[in-house]
Amino acid sequence: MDKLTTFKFNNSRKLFGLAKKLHDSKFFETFLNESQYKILDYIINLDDFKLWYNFLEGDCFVKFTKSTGDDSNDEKKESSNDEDDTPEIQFEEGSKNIKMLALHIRYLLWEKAIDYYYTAKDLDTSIYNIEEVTDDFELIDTLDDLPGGDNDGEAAQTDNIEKSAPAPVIREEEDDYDDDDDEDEDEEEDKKKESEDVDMKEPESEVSELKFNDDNQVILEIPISIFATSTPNNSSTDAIDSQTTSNQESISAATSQIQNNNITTLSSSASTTINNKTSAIDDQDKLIKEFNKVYHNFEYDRETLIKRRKLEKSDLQLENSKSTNNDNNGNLTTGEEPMAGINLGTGSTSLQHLLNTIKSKREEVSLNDHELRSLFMDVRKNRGKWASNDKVGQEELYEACEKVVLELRAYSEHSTPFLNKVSKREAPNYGLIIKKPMDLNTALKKLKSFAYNSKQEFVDDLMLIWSNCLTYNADPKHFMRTHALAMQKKTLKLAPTIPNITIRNRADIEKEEELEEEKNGGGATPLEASGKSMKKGRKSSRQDQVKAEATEPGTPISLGPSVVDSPSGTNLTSETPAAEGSAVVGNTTNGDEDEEEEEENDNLNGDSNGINEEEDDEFDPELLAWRSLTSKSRANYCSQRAELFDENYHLRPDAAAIIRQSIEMKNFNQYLSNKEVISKSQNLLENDEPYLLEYDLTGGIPGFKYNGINEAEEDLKEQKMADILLQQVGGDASKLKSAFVLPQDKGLNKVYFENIHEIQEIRKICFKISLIRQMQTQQFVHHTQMKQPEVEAIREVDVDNASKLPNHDAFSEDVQFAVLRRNVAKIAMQTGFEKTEPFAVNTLTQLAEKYLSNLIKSIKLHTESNSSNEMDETSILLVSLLENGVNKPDDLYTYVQERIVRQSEKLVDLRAKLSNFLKDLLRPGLENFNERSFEDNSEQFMTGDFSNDLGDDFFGFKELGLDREFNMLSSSIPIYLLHSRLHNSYASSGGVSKRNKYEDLKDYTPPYLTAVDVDKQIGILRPFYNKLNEKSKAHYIKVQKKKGEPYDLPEDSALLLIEDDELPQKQRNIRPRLPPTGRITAIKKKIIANSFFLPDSEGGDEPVLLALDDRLNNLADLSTPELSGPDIKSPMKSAIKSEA
Amino acid sequence: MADNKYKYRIEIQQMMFVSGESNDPPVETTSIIEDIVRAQVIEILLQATRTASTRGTKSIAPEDVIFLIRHDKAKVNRLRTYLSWKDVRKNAKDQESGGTESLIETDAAGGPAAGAAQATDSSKMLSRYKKSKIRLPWELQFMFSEQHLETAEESEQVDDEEKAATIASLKRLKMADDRTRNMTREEYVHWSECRQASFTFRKAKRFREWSQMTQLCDSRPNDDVIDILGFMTFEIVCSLTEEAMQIKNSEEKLIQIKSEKEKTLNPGQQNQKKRKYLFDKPDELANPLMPYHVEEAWRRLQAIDFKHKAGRSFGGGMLRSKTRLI
Repeated sequence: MDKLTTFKFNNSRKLFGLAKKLHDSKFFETFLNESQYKILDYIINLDDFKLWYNFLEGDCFVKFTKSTGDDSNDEKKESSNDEDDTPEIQFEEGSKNIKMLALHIRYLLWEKAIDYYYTAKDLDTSIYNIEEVTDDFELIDTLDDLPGGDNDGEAAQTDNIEKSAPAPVIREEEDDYDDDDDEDEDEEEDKKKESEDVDMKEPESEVSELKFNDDNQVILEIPISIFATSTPNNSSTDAIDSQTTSNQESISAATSQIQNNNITTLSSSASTTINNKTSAIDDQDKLIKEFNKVYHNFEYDRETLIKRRKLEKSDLQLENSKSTNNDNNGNLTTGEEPMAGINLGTGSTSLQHLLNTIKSKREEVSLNDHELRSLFMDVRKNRGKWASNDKVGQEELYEACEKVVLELRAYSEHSTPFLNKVSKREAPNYGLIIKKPMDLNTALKKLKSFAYNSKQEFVDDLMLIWSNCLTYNADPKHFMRTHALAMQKKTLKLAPTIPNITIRNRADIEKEEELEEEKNGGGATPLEASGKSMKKGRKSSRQDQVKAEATEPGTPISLGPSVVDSPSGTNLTSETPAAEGSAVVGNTTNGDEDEEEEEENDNLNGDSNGINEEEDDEFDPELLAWRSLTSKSRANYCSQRAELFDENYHLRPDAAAIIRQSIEMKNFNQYLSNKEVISKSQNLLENDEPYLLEYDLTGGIPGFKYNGINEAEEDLKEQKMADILLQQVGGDASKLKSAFVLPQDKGLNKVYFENIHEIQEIRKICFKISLIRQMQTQQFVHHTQMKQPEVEAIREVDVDNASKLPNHDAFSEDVQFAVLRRNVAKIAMQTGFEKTEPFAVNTLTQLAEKYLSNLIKSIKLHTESNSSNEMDETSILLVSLLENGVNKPDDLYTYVQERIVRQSEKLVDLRAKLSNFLKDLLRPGLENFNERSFEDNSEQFMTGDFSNDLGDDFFGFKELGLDREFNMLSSSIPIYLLHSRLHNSYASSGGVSKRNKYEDLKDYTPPYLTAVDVDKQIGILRPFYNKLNEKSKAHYIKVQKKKGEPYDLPEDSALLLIEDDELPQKQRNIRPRLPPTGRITAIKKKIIANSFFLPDSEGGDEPVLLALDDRLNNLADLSTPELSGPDIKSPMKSAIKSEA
Repeated sequence: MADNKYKYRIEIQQMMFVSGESNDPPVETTSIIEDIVRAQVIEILLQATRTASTRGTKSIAPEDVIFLIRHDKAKVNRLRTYLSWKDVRKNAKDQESGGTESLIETDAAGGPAAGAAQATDSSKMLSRYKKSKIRLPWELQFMFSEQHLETAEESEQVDDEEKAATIASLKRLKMADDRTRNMTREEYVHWSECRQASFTFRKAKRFREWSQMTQLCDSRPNDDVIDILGFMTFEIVCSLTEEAMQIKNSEEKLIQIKSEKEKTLNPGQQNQKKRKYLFDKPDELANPLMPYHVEEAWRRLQAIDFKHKAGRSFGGGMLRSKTRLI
């Protein structure tokens, strides 16, 4: 912890030392943008502590001097392709920007201490060896040895106090950077400040004189030439520097990887292939490593999301256009292709194993997902898409080109406007100004159709896009220029990764090669001959391919690195910074307003932070890198989150929840323990998105102990509760009344029930009346019509049993609605409806609901009103009632009185009247029909006295004069008009009257007759009984025979005469059936043989007599079977005889 | 044209007189009242046609018209008594003398249909003078499929509703009594003449034309319907006049208060005005009802009460309502 005192006390000298060291190790290059770096470089190279001190304290004023002359300017003009004479520099003159830069540098320096601070704290507990901070450790370890700083802690402290005295304000700010500074330091500071005031001058005197401006700020004169990077001195040293350092670094990185990597084979060949490019990648990795030190907020998300969507849309378009060769490259852009997307090639089962191994030992692999993925991307076999036997170099070139295009496309911060062709709608005059339109998608298409033959063509096309944009949008403040310049810069950065290959036919090359070999034989050095170098380049590229297949780590973007054409690295490196420099210059349009404009274009509402954003943009390549790297996963996270909201930014209740995945939890844990942004997830190759702690809403939430509501458990609980309740009421659920059941024995409810009951009773009576009416009019009444419709007595129905349980909310909407509906239905029935259709009652209930809620709402409104005219409760109620249509409370009373109470009276009255009426209708008929009433009213019935009771001339008999004619004093229907039908109906329907009729006769059973009794009968019946006797004997014998017993006839006294009913069916006497009228109607007219007819001419009496004769004959015919039964059954008898 | 349009000036004046307007109202007032009445009649006819068509018939029955005012129980009861008495009167006339009056009546009713109806009526009623009870189809007993016979004593029973109606009509009678108390004999004769004023009585044809009944209804409405309309038009004029009178009274009161205030403010004028001359106007200038009174009365009678908009509260939207029948 002692080592951190430098940071604690703001020891500028030591910090300067640290900065120098860091500068040596190219630390700043990655974290600052070009111009910033140049300025810092300048400052450090000046090696002026005083200047450094002032710079760090923010007392600095930047002034650019053009002392270096015109030549550099000219050169720069050429390189930057800019029309402006004055170079566009990202830096404005003045103190503001340099202050920002100072803050940034401070931040970077202090950041170095953070890791140390924390790891020193929990070094014991941490199991993981944090790799990336080790160099920081070393740095800070060496801090003590730095010159200018005292080894003694206290001296450092005092030193610090001296320094901090002039700028106490800034110091306080710095406290924020020093994470947990002790408060007592401030006190000490105050004490010692005065005592050692004298020393203050000392350090200042050391340094050479500096210019101060009016605000006591050091004027930092920076020759503008340092931006003109094409000056040979600077660039060459830079290049050398960078080369050496980067080499060192990459080697160290590689070795560190080797140390920690289980799969050491992967990294075996790393160091050999390292070139300048790896340093760039390391830069990126470095940046990535720094990510977790900053908590990113979500301010760019919307923008990112929109841009991302545009990109994806254009991807879709592209994919649609190329249906044939859509394969792995989708992996880069859309990320939709899972595991299988990384095509490991058919033959590479070993790679498959490797992958599995890595997966199983994921924890032990130090590489993060990002690295691993890029590794795999490089390792996997040739896609062969670009491969061609005839065209040499096509594969390498195109693969590189494709990567560049895709990278540019993925650079969604700026790439969005350039994805597609400029449409005429967007810019009508575009075609006039721009002769050769170009865009990224077109370039990609051209690539796919093998339209490029060399790197230059491709790069030219790309640069054409940006230059088109710059020419079309000539206004220097146009927002598109910012994008174009940024893209241009990016392109220039990426361009060197494309091998400088010109595609040639194999035949030509072979020819050439032959020539070469001949030359080679001549002993030419390989470096000199360009053709040779071509060949060598090719060869080395082959080697690289092979090596890459053998898995080469750490070079995600490197594409056959050594293919880069010139073997002399210096040439290339001198080229690269130049390109970058020009890009920087191109990039330096001051874009504050432009950015805002763009934001307006995109309908963004971040006006307020537009400026900040832009500043951050310029100052923080780290942020930039973060944004571009994570843009996709951020977009994914954000779109996921956006799903939850509707367009008004309200939470959508029906949106699918973001579900916490256990795998995310793992990511989260890894993140915590590893201090890495990019996690090691199990599914390492499934998505190429870095894990973002800040964005993962659900990842960090640990699993719940409470596993939600278990239905089975709930059921059990309810079961128990129900049991308890049932025990209380003694097992009968219907006894359990909820509060919603109104008592039926009091109040209005009682009246309602009575009314409904009355109505039902009246209906029954009405049915009877209508039945009688029907019988009067219709000939035949079907028995179904006779049936009284079942009317159930209305009951007060409780809510369902489940809702009675105490754990159910009685005030839940459904229950309440059901209760209200029940009451509404009751009211409907009381007003006279027989049944209620569910739809109708539901509608009515909803209306009632609405009305009641309106009433309550208006009461609420009045009670909560701010009106000065305050009302007491009574008047509030009255007013609310009035507003809802009740003029005065009396109306409610009158309603109840008139519509309910009065109605019940009326109903009772009506019922009495109707039942009387029914009685009147039935009195001659049904009422007197049973025996008893017949006895009672017999005389009345005979005389017709009963009809007096009816009173009114209902059928108009009086009017017709029938009463006088028949001497009938009744206006009702005489019984004989009714009785036959009534008899029919009641015979079929009711057994009640039947039973009444024969009640008295039930007990008597007539004794059987024996053969002896025959003679006792009256003479006329004797022959009949004699025959019966004979018959019985025959029957007896037959029965005995059947039984197998001797068939001696018993004595006459013992022989029972069989009854007709006991006879077998055939032997029974056939009796004519008498119709219920008692009259024999069904007389068939037979033509009788022995009758003769008198001629018609004789008088009117004769036919009548004849008819009478006929009738008698017929009667005789009918009776014959009865009398001559044995004759008829003669065949039967003979049968019996034969048997005997 | 104007002559053609307004045909009931005298009747309206008479009705207004009955309901308390003692001055001769100007033509404008009567014509605006006539317009209103006609509009109301047309409205009644339209609505009644609609109810009739829902019933399934084309011709308007008396029930259809009564149905429209069913909520105004007092009025319905008054109408009932009116109709039953009309019945009695008709029967009585038929009984006493089949003379000229009945002839005139049938002429006025204009048609053999009416005559036939009367014939059946008379045959049914036979020798009874009893006033028949008007039964309306929405009464309780018609809720059920069967009706009991009406016995003699039953119809004698006075319903509670009827009681209420008689109370209301007694009130009216008392008002009329008060009004006529101080009348001279001639005045009273005039008043009673005025009471008989009707839009329809013996001018059924004119009424039909005036209300354009032929255009509005498919079939020619019943005589009873015309009678009911006559009753209702009378009621409309009365209620309009009463309302307008109230408005006028309150207006006068306001003016009085105002003038008193002015008097107290500048008492100088008071003295000046106090002097009277021979040819000065009479002190109490009788103010007849002016059209704007009637208009205001109409507005008030048409206002939507809370009962009819309660269902819409908290719901928003424009309130639309049918023309209310006064």
